[in-house]
Amino acid sequence: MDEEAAAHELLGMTRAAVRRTRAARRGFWFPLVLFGVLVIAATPWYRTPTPACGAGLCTISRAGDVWAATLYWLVAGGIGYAITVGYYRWHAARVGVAGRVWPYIATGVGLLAVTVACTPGVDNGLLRGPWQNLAPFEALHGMMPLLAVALGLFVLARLERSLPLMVFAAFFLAVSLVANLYDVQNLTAQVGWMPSDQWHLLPNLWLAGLTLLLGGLGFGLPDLLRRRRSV
Amino acid sequence: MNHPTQDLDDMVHQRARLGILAVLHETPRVDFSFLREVLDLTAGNLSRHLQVLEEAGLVVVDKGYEGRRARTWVRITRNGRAEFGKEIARLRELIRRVDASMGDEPGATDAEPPAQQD
Repeated sequence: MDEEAAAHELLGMTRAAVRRTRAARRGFWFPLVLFGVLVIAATPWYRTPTPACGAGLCTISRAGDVWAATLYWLVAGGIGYAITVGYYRWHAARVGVAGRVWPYIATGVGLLAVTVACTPGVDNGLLRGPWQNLAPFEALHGMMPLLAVALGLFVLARLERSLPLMVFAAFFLAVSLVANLYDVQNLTAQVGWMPSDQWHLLPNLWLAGLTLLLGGLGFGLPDLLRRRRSV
Repeated sequence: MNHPTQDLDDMVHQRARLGILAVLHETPRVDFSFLREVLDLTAGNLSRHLQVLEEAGLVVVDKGYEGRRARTWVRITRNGRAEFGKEIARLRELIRRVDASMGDEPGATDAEPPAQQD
């Protein structure tokens, strides 16, 4: 029937326009790459100090290092989200389609503020105080900000209406939990990489950082090549 | 009961205008050039459709400059969003009724909600 054919045609046209708009608006590869770099750049703050031994007793003083890690996440997270806003603005001006990004930024910053409380600095600081019963935090590797990044990606996936990003966010959440709860060096040792005691958290941090970085490049490069070809 | 074609809104039930609202429904604001390219319209044609939609209170057109470059951004209003949703629902209903009258299984069409994830 003519009316049905016309309705199908209109809906088909609508879907095509929506698909092109979403494709043009999409920019989530950028925060993935950016936060991948920021996670890997946190490496110096996850060095475990060498124990000072004497008279049969070894002590570890972590205060300086761990507070620096906390400060790093606050500064790096803030800068990371600010750069992400800047990128989305630039992207909107370039392609002519604005993306909704503020809910992602608000979620990311909010969660970061909460999870920074669980980095080694605040963790150790609080555990010496009245919060000593929060023993489970001791089992974490001070990488709770990774969970903030992971949960923020779910919001971004919803905003960008991207199922692939939603799947990646779930995968990265799992990686973040592994980085926080498991000694990844147990696995890297099997492939011949056994970092020194000082750097035993490196495999955990790099696993998360490289996951974000490679994920971002995996999403971004095909888009970039497609745009280059269409220019 | 009205025939579904009688329910279609003449303001929105028009290929270009429905396309404009579909694009704007997806994003906070869109550049005039992007709309022209995606909908394959001439500048004059798009301007006329935007004027009609703006007068009906369904879109807002913001003209300004970015550096030295003149730029026109278009965004959908709350009314525009509502009208777009109603129109899509009407089109689906039309297809459903026609399919039902022909003895087809409902839902056996290629009509998907525009807001689905891809």
